[in-house]
Amino acid sequence: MFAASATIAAFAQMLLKKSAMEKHDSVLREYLNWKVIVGYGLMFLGMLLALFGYTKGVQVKSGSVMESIGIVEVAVLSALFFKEKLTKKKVAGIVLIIAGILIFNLA
Amino acid sequence: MGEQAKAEGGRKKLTFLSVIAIQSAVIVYTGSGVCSKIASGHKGSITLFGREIHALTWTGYLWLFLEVCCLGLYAVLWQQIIKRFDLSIAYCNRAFAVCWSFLWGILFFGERARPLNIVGIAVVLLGIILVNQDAN
Repeated sequence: MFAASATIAAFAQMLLKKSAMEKHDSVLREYLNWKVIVGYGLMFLGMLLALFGYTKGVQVKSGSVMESIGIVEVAVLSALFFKEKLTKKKVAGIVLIIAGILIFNLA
Repeated sequence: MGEQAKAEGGRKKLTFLSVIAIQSAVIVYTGSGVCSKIASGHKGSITLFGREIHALTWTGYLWLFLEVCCLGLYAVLWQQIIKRFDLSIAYCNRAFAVCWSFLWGILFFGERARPLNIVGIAVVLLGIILVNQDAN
């Protein structure tokens, strides 16, 4: 449930970043455009999935941990769509973050 | 700084203040998780056409509304953040939500802190520092 929520959120981030990179006429237009609206619509869908997960007894700290799978997805998708470099340092940092999350989950 | 950052495709140096700004948004985001958890504890039911339907109580819906408010504020802040920084860098910083949620779990829900939780958070923090160094 939380993994699906993270994947939906990762794709939503791509739409948000795409909109953030474009020039808009006004601050309001930065938010009121289809990419941001669809992006946050997807985030809302992910939120509902997370809520369903919580009703099944998942703790707040664990829910957040499981959603963090999205970090890898966002890094890969950002490299594909926005040419953000996946440097050795960044990959090592992400590996550490995921390792930290796994250690956290072992408790 | 916004115009220049936008022209460079959102690549701006991460200063200490930038990290504080990102973490402020992350704290607001984790607030939504707290509201979600509280809302899930307010289960109720309504009877419609003779059938009992499980739902939330009115208090539950109020917490759900507060969750949406947190996400709304987070959305406003996040859009400004990803305009200025690489998405992958900003998203890695968002991983520190683990620490904030852990803190809220202890403070508001009496969840227990274990040594491995602390070690895990320390490793996450190391990872974020490494990613942030790469951003500069």
